[in-house]
Amino acid sequence: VTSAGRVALLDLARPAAPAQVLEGPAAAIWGALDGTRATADIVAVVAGEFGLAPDAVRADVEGFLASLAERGLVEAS
Amino acid sequence: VTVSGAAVRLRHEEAGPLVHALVAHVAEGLGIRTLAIKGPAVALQGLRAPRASADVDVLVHPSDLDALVAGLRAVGWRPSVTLTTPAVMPRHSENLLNDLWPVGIDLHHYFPGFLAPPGEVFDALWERHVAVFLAGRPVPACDPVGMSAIVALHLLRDDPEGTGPRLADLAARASSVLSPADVAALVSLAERTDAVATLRPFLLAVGADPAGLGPARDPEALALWERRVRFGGSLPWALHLAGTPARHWPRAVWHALMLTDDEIYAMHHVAPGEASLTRLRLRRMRRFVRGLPRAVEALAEARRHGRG
Repeated sequence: VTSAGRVALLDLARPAAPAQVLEGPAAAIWGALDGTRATADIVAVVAGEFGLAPDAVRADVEGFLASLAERGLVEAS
Repeated sequence: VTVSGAAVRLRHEEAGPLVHALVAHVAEGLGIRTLAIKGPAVALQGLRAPRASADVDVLVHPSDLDALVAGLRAVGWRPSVTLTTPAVMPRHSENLLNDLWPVGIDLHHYFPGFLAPPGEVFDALWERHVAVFLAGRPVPACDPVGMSAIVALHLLRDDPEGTGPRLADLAARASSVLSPADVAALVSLAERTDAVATLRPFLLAVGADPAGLGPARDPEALALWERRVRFGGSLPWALHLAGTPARHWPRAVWHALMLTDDEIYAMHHVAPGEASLTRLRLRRMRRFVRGLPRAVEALAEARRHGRG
């Protein structure tokens, strides 16, 4: 469920788990996930959204994607 | 950058679609048919303006209710409260709560106003069902024809003549959403579910031919519905008092005002501890005073005609 600057998520594979709320940059990263983009492309999209150089956001984006993967919310393909 | 998880409070308008998706997921896993009713599905179909709801409303075949409640209990939901309030018609829904969610689930096993047997009503609505996308997932829901009937019956419970602004708004929206063929289908659905008489003001408002609107097939059920809508929440208490020795009335009235703490919270759609019990009870007392004339009338009628 997406609203301005926020995304609320539920992992239906774990229906007893609480919903997750992403705000600000986290929501922007989630919004950049379209199922086809490579990590470098996601970094570029998020950097563009905040008017920053890719290198300035790369570590945060990669770390966040790793935390999403740990929670089973995304899978690397 | 972090996943906020439970640290950030989920908003009602976020929780509603997610819980609809959750219920549909659990029901499908159990092979149970469910229909999203009221709530965000209605707004998506253009039958009302979007707004957040305190509960997620789902209709289920009565024979599947217990299995679905068990399935939802298995993923952390629990029945809300044991009601001590009297009822005229059988309870039409089970309310489930979960401390992780700011909204409850109302599982309806029948919908008041459809006078036909609940299982037949569900099957009639299911035959017309559609998928709406909630939280990125297809969720089975009543189609606009069935949904408009349900929302209209919900409104007509408190506005039996259908003269209020909410029914007018629904009728205006339905008139633009429903084609002439849909209106004919609405009348057919009302006939099949024995809701022509109860839906009559709405059917007329969306252009149904009055000559084609017959009487109720179950006049006793219609009479009960008409008493319920005429006297509102006063009727169950009036019938209860009519069947109670007068010496016990003070205690019965006191209980009607106070209820249990859990009931007071549930009645106001407030999580325990989120609001002052005193303030909620004062609000109930103000409503009681406003409804007193209707309650006295209901009690007089209940004593004339006996209970039920």
